[in-house]
Amino acid sequence: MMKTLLALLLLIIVMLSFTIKGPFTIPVPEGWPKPLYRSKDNTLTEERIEIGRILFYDNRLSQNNMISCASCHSSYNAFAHTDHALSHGIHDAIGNRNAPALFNLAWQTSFMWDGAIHHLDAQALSPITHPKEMNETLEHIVIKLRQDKNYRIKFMNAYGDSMITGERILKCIAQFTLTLISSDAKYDLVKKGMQQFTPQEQRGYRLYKTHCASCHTEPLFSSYTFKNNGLQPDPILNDLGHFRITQNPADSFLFKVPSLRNLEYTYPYMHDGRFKRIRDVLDHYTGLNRDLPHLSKELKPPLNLSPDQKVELISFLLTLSDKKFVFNTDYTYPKEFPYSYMNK
Amino acid sequence: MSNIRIKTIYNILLNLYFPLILIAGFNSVYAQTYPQLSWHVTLNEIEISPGRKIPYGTEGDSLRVNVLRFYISDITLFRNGTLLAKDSIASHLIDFANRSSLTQHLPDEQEFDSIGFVLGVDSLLQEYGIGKADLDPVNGMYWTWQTGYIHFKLEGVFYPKFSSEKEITLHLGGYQTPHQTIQQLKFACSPYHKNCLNLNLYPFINYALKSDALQIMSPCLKAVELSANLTQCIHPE
Ligand code: HEC
Ligand code: HEC
Repeated sequence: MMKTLLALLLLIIVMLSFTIKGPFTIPVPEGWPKPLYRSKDNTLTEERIEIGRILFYDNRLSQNNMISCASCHSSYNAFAHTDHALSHGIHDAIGNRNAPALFNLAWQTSFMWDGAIHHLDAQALSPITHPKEMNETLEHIVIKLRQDKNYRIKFMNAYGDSMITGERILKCIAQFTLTLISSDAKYDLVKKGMQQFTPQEQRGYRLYKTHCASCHTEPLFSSYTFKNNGLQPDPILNDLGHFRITQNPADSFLFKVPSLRNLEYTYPYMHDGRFKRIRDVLDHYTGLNRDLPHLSKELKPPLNLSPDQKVELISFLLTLSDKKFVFNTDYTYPKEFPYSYMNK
Repeated sequence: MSNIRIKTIYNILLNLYFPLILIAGFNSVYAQTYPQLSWHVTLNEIEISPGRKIPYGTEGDSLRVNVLRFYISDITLFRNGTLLAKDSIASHLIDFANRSSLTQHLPDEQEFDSIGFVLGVDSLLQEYGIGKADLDPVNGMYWTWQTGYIHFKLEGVFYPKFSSEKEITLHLGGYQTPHQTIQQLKFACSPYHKNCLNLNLYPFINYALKSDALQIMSPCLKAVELSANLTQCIHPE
């Protein structure tokens, strides 16, 4: 009797050791600063990240069960939304801004083009409830997901009880997006001494350092501060940027500096998706009106690039494409989750 | 046969009766000794109830409050100015439509003479993201388009006697300067009583009407002003 009990206990322990995968630490690529993400009560674990990944692809996060996060943030586009200048949500509603690429979020403290969100744990609430994005309530999502046995099992494994709460849903999504790290571009291999730039890329790198690095700073290729890069405001959208959040007139028309990593996959560019090609962006920087009142000081000095220099700069920018990131199957839709609602 | 049946039923009832009496008795003793803080929302002397139109002042205006919810956080008990105990729950959501939320159990201390708390959600907690239970964003007290809790939410309609009705939507919040709306409060009180605080909405709504601030849905300087005014409308009963 005692023996069978012991054997059973042993079996349970062995089984548990298979299911509990345990804590997860955000890996810090060589030479990168420490991640800035901090939370009192959102310990990353493999199980929670997995739930976050499933949620990211689950259409039930929207009111008509047809839109998921992945509808606008596709892994194959470094989690941006190509082809659409402005985001494209529920019932084909067109939003006001371009869906940004999602990676290296653990190194940021402000989210959205205008910095409306200060904490990643709270971020998903915004698209979920936005009438032109998913148009759903967190309350209703909780009701929908509680009916699903598969989720209940996942939450049981991740939290020790099967309670599905709004807080847990948001935090799991944040955990998944924190794991989206892009640090395996050719540029990174060159930095590690494993590859070399071509002479053309090397010249492009020098141009980047002179003209772009003050805002698009290495190694993340963004300072993640708010700047104005001289775009003429669109009179219809009339997007005031960071001002909307701070209500400080000095912040009018400032937008978060986006990273230059993965540009190859994330077109169109800028907060309103106005440029389709990298070449258009460079033409903007060389041709812009330096007297614009909101233009940030880094762009006040004239910037002239010959056609050859533009090609060099583009060839450098393309060394920031991270194929390994874009095709990483840890980030694609979770095939093993048996689901008719999944966005494939 | 029937006699036996009656006897068994009687026995069962008797067996249930004493434990029930005991539990009930214990419960009432327990409730009495546990100090409490409770809330009473009025418009001057008139009790407010959700969704009901009630007279506002003496000029013939009226008011209907549909939603009234707010957070209190960091409840602390003091004696002679020194800290005695802190509530183990970070924040409580007080929802006027949910009777049980109008009373909070205080830490089990008998000798306190004043009670302090924060009206709103602690800014440190907000820096760290989102919380659980009463702080779960599922409660509709978290802004969706930006970061931060709504500390105080009042929705209703003001019906002036001589002009058309005015919607009231006051979502007061903001935890970063200069739009910080969190308010610190402290009251003298007695540990042996059910400590009751009266929130009188009359002066508050009067202030909002005068400053033409009936629609606030984001952190701003008006929200800071109104939040400061709100603390003037809370008094021990
Ligand atoms: C309808 C398209 C759409 C959907 C659906 C959508 N997003 Fe977005 N996402 C956007 C747009 C547009 C922005 C930029 C918004 C802004 O700046 O105001 C954005 C911004 C973000 C950001 C901030 C990135 C940064 O660099 O600041 C994150 C993180 C994000 N989304 C995650 C999600 C998650 C998680 C979901 C699912 C819960 C989701 N998105 C659903 C369009 C969408
Ligand atoms: C003053 C700081 C500043 C400097 C210097 C600067 N940029 Fe930018 N860049 C920005 C800002 C801000 C944005 C976003 C603007 C917006 O959408 O309103 C941006 C956007 C971009 C984008 C679009 C990225 C995307 O995902 O949409 C590209 C590409 C880009 N910059 C390339 C460059 C290059 C190349 C240089 C150097 C020639 C450069 N930038 C110099 C601030 C700067």
